[in-house]
Formats: sequence, C-alpha cells, structure tokens
Amino acid sequence: MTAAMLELDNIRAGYNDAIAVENISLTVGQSEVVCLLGANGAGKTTTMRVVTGLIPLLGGTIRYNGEDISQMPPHERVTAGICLSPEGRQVFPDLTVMENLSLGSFNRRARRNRAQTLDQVLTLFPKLAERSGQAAGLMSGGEQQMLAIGRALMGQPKLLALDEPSLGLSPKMVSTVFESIQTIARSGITILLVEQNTRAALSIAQRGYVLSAGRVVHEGTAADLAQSEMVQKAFVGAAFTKQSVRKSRRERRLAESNPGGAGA
Amino acid sequence: MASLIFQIVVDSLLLGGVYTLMAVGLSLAFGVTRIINFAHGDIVMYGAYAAFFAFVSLNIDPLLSLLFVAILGAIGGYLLFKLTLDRILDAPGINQVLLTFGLGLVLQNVAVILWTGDERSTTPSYAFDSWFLSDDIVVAKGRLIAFGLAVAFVVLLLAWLRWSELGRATRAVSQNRAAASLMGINVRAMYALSFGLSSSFGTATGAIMSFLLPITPFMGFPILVKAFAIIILGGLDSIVGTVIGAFLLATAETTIAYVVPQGIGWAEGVAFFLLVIVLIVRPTGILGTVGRDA
Amino acid sequence: MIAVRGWIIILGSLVVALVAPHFLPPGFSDWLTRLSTLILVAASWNMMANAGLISLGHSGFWGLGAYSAALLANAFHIPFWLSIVPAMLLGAFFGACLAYITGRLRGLFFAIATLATSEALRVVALMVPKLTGGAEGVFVFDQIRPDRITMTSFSLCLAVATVATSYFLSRSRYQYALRAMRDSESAVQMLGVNPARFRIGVTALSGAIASCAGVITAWFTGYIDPGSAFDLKITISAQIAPLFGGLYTVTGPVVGSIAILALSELTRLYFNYSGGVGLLVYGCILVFGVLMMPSGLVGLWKRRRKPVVTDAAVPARAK
Repeated sequence: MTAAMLELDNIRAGYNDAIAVENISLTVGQSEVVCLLGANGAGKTTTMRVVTGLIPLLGGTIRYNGEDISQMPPHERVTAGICLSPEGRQVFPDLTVMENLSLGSFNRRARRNRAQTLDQVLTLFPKLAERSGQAAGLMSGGEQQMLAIGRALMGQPKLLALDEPSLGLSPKMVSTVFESIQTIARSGITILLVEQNTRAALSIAQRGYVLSAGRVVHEGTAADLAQSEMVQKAFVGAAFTKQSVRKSRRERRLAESNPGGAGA
Repeated sequence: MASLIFQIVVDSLLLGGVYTLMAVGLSLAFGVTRIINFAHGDIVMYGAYAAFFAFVSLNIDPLLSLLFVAILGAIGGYLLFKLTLDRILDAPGINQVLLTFGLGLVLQNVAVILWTGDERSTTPSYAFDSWFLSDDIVVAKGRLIAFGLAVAFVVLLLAWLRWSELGRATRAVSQNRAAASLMGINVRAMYALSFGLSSSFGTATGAIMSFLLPITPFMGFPILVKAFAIIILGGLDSIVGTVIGAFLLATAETTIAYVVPQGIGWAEGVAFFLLVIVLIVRPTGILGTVGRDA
Repeated sequence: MIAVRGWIIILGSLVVALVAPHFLPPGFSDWLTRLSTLILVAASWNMMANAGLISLGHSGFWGLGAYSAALLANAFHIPFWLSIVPAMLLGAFFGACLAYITGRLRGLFFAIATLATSEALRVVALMVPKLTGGAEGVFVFDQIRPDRITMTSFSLCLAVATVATSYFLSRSRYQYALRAMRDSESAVQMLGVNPARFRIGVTALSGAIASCAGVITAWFTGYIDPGSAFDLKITISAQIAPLFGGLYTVTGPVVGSIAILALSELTRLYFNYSGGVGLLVYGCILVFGVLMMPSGLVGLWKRRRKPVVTDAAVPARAK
C-alpha cells in the first residue's frame, strides 16, 4: 500500500437524530481500488455521502492527502479531486447527455481540460457519444449509469467514488460497466467502490472493508475477502436474517426522509 | 366585431409581454431555491421609483436608466438574500414564507414613509404616443416598447440558461441540488446569484412599469399576486411555462375588460380566480413538474 | 383539577368582560374592543397553524363576517348578538369549502390559495354594488346599533370564549392528531385518522371565529367597505400576534395581541399617525422574529430540519 490518499478516522454520521455509521475507520491508498461491502443498510452509502460532504460529519475526521477536510463543503471537495457517481445515478433528467457531462467538469480545475477529458470519456463510453443530444432522463438505467460515471470522470477526479454502479443493471450491463471501471483504475485513478455485487467488486478491487450495522466488521485484501466466510455471513447470509431485514427497512425509511437516493 | 377581436389580441400580446417580465424573476428564483419571494412585488416597486427619480432629477429616460436600475436590483437582491434568507435555508418553509412576507412589508412601508402614497409616473414622450393600425385598432407605443424589451430580456435569459456555464449550473441546481453540489457547484452561491438575477428582472420590470402604471408604494401587491397566478399557471419552475401563463392571464384580463360590463373592475380579480382554479384543477400548472406538497 | 381551574379562570374572565367596560374610560374600551377582534383572528389563525395550515386569507373570513352582519342588520334588522350566528355559519361554511377544494395543497400553495380567495372575495364585494354597496361601502342600520359599553363587553366575551375554545382544543384528544398533521399528514393517516376531515374541521372552526371579529367591527364602527373589510393588514396582524407571542400555544396569540396592539399605539403616539410606520414595525417584527428567534420557531419543527444540499422536500425529478 502506498501513501494514504483518503483516511477516515472514527467517523460518525447519520440522518436527523439517527446514527447510521459509527466508528468507521478506513484508508484508501494512492491509485488503489478499495471496495466497501455489506448488506443493504450497512452504512455504505452513508459513508460515501460523508466522504463527499453531502451530509455533515458528526464525529471523527476525514483526511484527504493528509489534509483535514472534515468541514469542507461538497463543492470544494470536488475541486480538490473527490468526485462521486451517486447511488441511483442522479443524472439531471431534463438536461442532455452532453450538458450532464459538461456539468461534470464545472469545477475550475477540470474546466480547462474539458475537451480532452470529454474525448477520453466518450472513448470509454461510446454509447454516450451516440446519445449526446438526448435528455438524460429518457435513457435506460445502464446508459444513465454510464453517464453518471462519465460525469464523475469529467471532474478529473483524483479519487473516484462509485456508489452501487451495478444497481438495477442487467448482468451483461454489469460486466460492461465493471470493465470500464477496470479501465479507469488502470489509468491510475484511485477508486472507492461501494457494491452489493460482491463478486464483481472483488474482481477489480485490491482491498475491501466489510460493513455491518454501521461498523467495519472485517477488512482485508480482495483475495482474502473472497475466501472469507465472514464476508459470506456479513452480507450474503445476514441479508436474509430477520434482524437485518428489519434494520435495513429502518434505514431505508431514514434515507427516504433524506434525499439523493435510498439506502445507507 | 372583427376589429374588437383584433384589438383584444393586440392588447393581450402587449400586456402579456410586461407580465412575462414581471413573473420571470419570481419563477427563476423559485426554480433554483424553492422559495417563493413574497417581496418580489415590492422589488418591482423600488425599480419603478428608481427610474422615476432618475427621470425627474437627472432627466434620464427610463429606457436608459433601466440598465442601472437592473444592476442595482441585482446587487440589492443578492445582499437581501445574503443578509436574510441565507441564514434560514435549513429552517422549515413557513419561516421562509413569513420572512419574505415581512421583508415585503418593510420594503413597502419604508417607501410609504419616504415617498408617501402619492401617485407618480415617468412621462417620456412615447408614454402617450399611439399608432392607429386602422380606424379603430390602437397600439400604445409605450406598451409596444415594453413588449419588445420583455421579449429581449426573456430571450437573453433563456439563452443564458441554455448556453452559459453558470446558466447550465442554474438548471442543474433547480433539478437536483445534491447532484449539483457533486458537480462542484456551490449551491448556496447559486441561490444568491439566482436571487440577484431575479431582483434584477424585478427592478427592470419596475423601470418599464414606470411609464405604464402609476407608481405608488402599494403597486407591489397586485403585481405579486399576478406574478403568482402566472407562475402557478405555468408550472412554477418553467420559464417557458411562465411565458405561456403570462399571456393567458393577459388574454383573460383583456378579454374581460372589453367584453364584460364594468369589465375593468372585474379584470383586477381575474388573477385571483385563475389562481384558485388552477391550484384546484391542475396543481402542477401547465408545464410544471413540481409537486404541490412542498 | 386543572380543568376546574380552567373553568374558574374562564368564568372569572367572563365576569370581568361583562363588568369592566362600565368602569373604563371610552378610549380604553375602544382599545379593548380592538384587542378582542385581534385575539379572535390571531387565535383562529393559530389554530390552523397548529395543524400545519398557513393561512394568508384571514381577512376573507373577517370580511365575510362584517358584510353578513351589516347586510342582515339592514335587511332584516337582526340584532348584533344574533348576527354572529349567520356570520359564524357563513365563515365556517366558507372555511370548510376552502379546505375541501384546496384538497391536497400543502404549505406554500395552501397559503397562496387562501391569499387568492380572500382577495377574490374583496373583488366580488367591490363589483357587486347592488348587494354590497360596492366601493362606497355600507352603513349599518343605526337604530339597532348597541352602545359602546355593550359592544365592548360583547366582544370581550367572544374573545374569552375563543381562548377557552383553543384551550379545550389543546387539551382534547384532537390536539395530538392536529399536531401530528403539522409534521406529516401521511403519519396521521397511519394513526387511523382521516386528515381531510381534520383539515376541514379546523379551517371551518377558524373561519367561524375569524368572521366574528368582522361582525364586531361592523357593529362597532357602523360602516364597512371592501377595502377595510378585506384589508390584508388583518391577515398580517393575525399571523404576527401568534408569532410574537408564541406559535402553537394557547396564551401566545393573547400575549402577542396585547403586545402588538400596545406597540402600534406607541408608534402612533410617537409618529403621529404617519402612514407606514405601524406596518413597518410589523414587518420588522416578522423579519427579526424569524431571523433572531430561530430556535423558538424551529425548535418546534425540529424533526423537519435537514441540511440544505440534501433537502428531501425537493427530490430529484428523475425516475
């Protein structure tokens, strides 16, 4: 592992008065691909939202390249190089594909290289070039997912955060999207990946953390995690126990009273 | 009969232009911030007074002072937002309603104290000029100028929204503010910007109104209600919907004023009746997408 | 025990209301009459606010009450004490209709709808001179106007009755449903309560009470016109008094009414009736009240608070 790019130290966060994640500590190294695994409602999306600043941090610190960014507003984090492709894609439905992509490079740093980045993104996702004039809301889920990732890439991220890129996609589309993520990773961009599709996630990640009930319960290399029984239990098995179902319902309700997609 | 219909069409068109200008600022600010500015009518009133004083003491034509008035409006709106609304963005909607309502009261009554309730108006030569298209069809020159300016402003706004970097960001914020902040857009700054722009449109409207309507501290309220009716007709956050709503209201008012006995008095109430009917029959307006549960 | 004390206070207040005006100077009984009308609109506004309904149309109820009293007095010589019955029925009916037709409208849009309806009523009053006398207004049939002292007692009694109503409402089992409606109507639905019926009920009650204030004014001044009966100032004071005194409380509107009436007397004293100052003060109260006492207001709404960038009130339009 190289020098840590992102460090979460004992973070705590939640919605309204309910705490969704607690005591989460993790690091992401330079040019590393790290995945967060866990059942629905384990706190993965909440962690992503805290990292990008969409919800306030209630405790602990977040360091990015050694600098404390705990109180930094979300738009400044984007300028600093943290770009998120959010859960549920969240494309701007009435704007065209091209407008969505241009917005991705709104930040000062990325705006200078917009044309160049756009070329790279369209090479990675040729489909987006075909659809460039279409309203984003009218595209299929898979296309919207590509757009969401492409839009995040337009911000020239140093750290690319991907939240559930496989959600709601056909198996074929999942493999297409994951191939693209692999390509992005090879270009040297650090990736923090939240995924429920464990197999797909572990196939491209180097390391992973397993979250359950808002805490880190396990961590290790991708190879270790793929073998681990703990992982199976933590989300594959646990996802179907009564308790976790009840819990995930509660978290879904919490998330519904908050925006930007469901799940925590 | 034919000429009456034609006259109604002409008058509706001209009035619709002014109404568009009046409502477009309110719609823009609402689209971005989801706050209805109950002080918008009073901002229009201040624009009218600014143009009036420029005309009377500096002898500047309202069409010329319009530019400065619009700039002043932008600065004023921006400051107003920063000093007040910016502090209670996280508060429940009722606070924002009461706050802008109170701001409107303050603005109006400062004007009452400063300038009394006397009616004033700017009197450039074109305010009294008319063209006769035929024997019985009249086009008031002042209204035609107002119409032309309104069209120009709205086209400029639409172009800005469509093609400029900030305009695109404005649309992004109005569609999904969380996602917009993920684009590196400073959402609060966009709120302030949209309020500034909105007020700038408001004061510009006032400058134009200065030669169409009597200027009093109380002119803001009817303007506000008409603007409400228009944007609710049009669907709140759609600029194109606002344009349609403005022309609908103008047509309804003009027709009633011409056709119904004592119609001019009733025309004053058209906005209220339309408002209630639209809110009941089609709460999302003509082109709107905003649910009315907000 | 508390209920007994409540009854004693109410009965005591009624006795005071009946007796006091006989011993007070005329200026003061004028003031008390105005205070009573203000308490009526403020308390009735507060009842609706308590259920999450922001009314910007209380001047509509007021005007309806004033006109119905004046017109019935002139046509049928209905005495003042009886005229509150048709006025209240009309106010309640209008309130019920308003709540019914605005159906699903919430918050801001409900507020705008109420504003528009009350203004529409003003236009109607102005434009149907055969019935209402139009812009010239109507004089109330002078022979049956009661004297000042009777009027003051009468209006004070109504004010006491109103406060008693909101007191009993706040202690009744309905209070929970109403307060829950303020937070979320769907939650109320889950409790097995029909929120539509509560909306209609509370708006009708509020309308009936507010129209009484109009009745009092019509009899007291002996003259009404569309401009004064449907004055927006009525609505403004109806919302400022509870805000100032304490939103959603029983005593808040009373305390607030006394405070803002005293305040407006003071400004009148110092600024010598010059127009604008009174309303400027009201505006300042609103602005600073909302800005400086956010905990007072927001505290009660705490559960609704969210960070701005992730505001769920405006979800993404996607899907």
